[in-house]
Amino acid sequence: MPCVEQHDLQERIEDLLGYVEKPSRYIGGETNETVKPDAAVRVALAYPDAYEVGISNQALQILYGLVNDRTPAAAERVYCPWPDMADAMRRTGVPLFTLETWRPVADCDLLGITLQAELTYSNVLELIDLAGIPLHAADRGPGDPIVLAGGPSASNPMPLARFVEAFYMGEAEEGLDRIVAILEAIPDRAERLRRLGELPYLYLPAQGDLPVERAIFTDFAIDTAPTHPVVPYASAIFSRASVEVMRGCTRGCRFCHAGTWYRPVRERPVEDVVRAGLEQLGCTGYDELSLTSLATSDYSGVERAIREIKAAKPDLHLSLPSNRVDTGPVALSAAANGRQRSITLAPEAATQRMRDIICKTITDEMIERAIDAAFAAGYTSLKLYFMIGLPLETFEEVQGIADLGYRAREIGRRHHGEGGRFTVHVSVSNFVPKPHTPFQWDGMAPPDQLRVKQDYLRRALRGRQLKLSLHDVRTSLLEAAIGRGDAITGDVLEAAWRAGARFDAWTEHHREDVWRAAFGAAGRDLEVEATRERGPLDPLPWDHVRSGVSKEFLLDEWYQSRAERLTGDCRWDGCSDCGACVGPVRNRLVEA
Amino acid sequence: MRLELRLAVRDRARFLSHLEMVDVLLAALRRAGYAVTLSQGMRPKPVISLALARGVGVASEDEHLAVDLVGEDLDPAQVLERLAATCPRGVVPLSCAPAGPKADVSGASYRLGFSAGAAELERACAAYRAVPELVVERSGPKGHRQIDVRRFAPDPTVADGAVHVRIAILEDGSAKPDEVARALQACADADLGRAAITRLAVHTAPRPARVGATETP
Repeated sequence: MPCVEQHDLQERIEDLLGYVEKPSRYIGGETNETVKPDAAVRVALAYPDAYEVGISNQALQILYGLVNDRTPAAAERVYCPWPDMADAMRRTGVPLFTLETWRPVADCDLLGITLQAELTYSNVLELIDLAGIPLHAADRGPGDPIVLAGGPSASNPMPLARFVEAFYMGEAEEGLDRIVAILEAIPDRAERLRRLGELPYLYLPAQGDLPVERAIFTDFAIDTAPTHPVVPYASAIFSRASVEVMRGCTRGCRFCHAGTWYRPVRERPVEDVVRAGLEQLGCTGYDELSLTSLATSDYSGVERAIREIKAAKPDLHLSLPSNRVDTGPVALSAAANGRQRSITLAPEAATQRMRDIICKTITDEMIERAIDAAFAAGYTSLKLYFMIGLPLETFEEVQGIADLGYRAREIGRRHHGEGGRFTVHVSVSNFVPKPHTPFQWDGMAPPDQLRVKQDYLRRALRGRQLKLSLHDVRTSLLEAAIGRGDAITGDVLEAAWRAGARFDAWTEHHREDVWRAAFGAAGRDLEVEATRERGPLDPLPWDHVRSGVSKEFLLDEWYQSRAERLTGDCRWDGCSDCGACVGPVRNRLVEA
Repeated sequence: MRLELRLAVRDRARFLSHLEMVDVLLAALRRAGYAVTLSQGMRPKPVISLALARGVGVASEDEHLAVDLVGEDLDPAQVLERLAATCPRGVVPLSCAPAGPKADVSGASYRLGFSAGAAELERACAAYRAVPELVVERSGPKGHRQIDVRRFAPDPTVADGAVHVRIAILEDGSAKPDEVARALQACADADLGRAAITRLAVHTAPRPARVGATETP
């Protein structure tokens, strides 16, 4: 009697919604949602964090549109229930359900989980458990959905290898239809897995650590941009239309995972950007459009795109996140949105020496010029973003952050007056080494050292028109320990989740004691794992994952950092032989 | 142009909060091609309001939306048609007309659907009406308050197997429909079950003229 059971489940869900915080997180029905109740193949696409975070994720929106629009399968969304809802679901026996049809996730053919950040891993276990799917992949049977994970953090799959049957490496647009075709053609679960294992970009831990290649969406530049994203309810962290104008970045910042993982650069034609942006505005009702990428001011067609979009919608709030620190990008931001009063610049490091170490190709003069241009353009809130704890850092670099904050205030006062109404926000996060980057061999700075530096900044950087924000060392520590973890980290993860860890990125839910105990139970130490340096010849847990960028290049970049030498951007300074470009895979730029 | 719309909020959409609903309606109007007039002042806000905040989980067949749209010669029928096409699932525009004189909300009528039978509900309503006072506790961010729901909702009756009740808004406040449901449960001999609440009508009264104001012809 499936209909009766389904009706019963819907009633039980409705009963729960009367008692939980923000029930709109669980109701679905948003504008541009797609419901395909009769589809033969059902895929649950999950974001392991709260609705307001997950619905704002562009990657999941792209996948949702691709599966629903271009394949016969139905994609339905799942976000991690907030602890009050999760507890109520467990208490009343309500399984994890999809937003579109309120049907159990366990009845789907595939549960696809996007891994955007390591601090969501405990929520991955929470999702699997709430769905009623056995936690360990080895314990699953013919009736269980296949659990597949993808996204940038899948580039080191080992901490989750025990819980996930298949990891998709790289950009999902490239092979999503092949996965759906396998699910459609083959009913048997074991055979489905065998066939999935033949795809070069899928890593199946059960088959051993065989080499796996990152998928690169070579058609990004010619494929049409998504035009009808699901419009979230009011609680989402981002409520705006967004068009990805460019994928990849070859600037080569040595700490940046995305800078390696999404190479090479592929730019979308301006006409497509403009058309998709205007269509999105029409079918979403947003009054803001964001042109997204890893560095939008580097997009060759950015000026033309702004001009044409503003010509069509003169009052539109157009935003350009992730801009290079220079006068040109500041002027672009001002042209894109004259009403906006705040701008973010990310020098990352405050001294020339440190910027050479991390390969951030900007100078003191460029930073000051950009700050000057920002205040001259009328911005009254300037956010400067830095990192501390970077390799080879001395106290001079930390002092440099305070000095640059004061310099920015001086420049602001030149424009707005001594007592002018403007603010310089200095935001300082902690460096966390990531796999597949030149700094993958470095450890995170010891937490005590980071806290001393944070205290120093608190004392050194204070006064009118200045604001300082510092990132929580505890969450950075956990991110570093999990991010470069191995299979044993999976034991730690499971122990921590069983002891109550979930929503680790949320300060109010972060349980440092639980994580320390879980590392201890596995015979490890949280700080040792986070701060551990590795030698160039040490095997790395993610060695079998081929990002396309060679390990030799990464190691050479590591040596370059020690020599405090910059490496040029291959878009303008010639090929640096990173290994990413093979055959049709190469930088694809549009005409300015 | 100021317009008044009536809306129904059904199914899962009833779990949208008051502010989420306003946001949903603003986006739906933009998708329909209409711009909402902004208020004057330092921080302009769209001129839009729902007459009576609806509790989360309460369905409604009579939401009163007042909105000021940019433009003077808008066709209300066309606004209704276009908005109906752009509202999300469960939010159903029912009518649209040029706004009349401003009115104050004096109360609202609700249907409280319980799983208990009509006879049980009749007994609960009779017991409810028989007592002079029915106090329930209201908890909120500012602490706890005692509410005598009988003052605001004196006369619940049974029709079509459900309780129908009109709740007045008085100068010192009002009762919430779930508070009336709790009071009914307290008066009942047996478990009535969970109440499925639907707002059936919002009642308005002409706004009294301000003292000293001169009437314009």
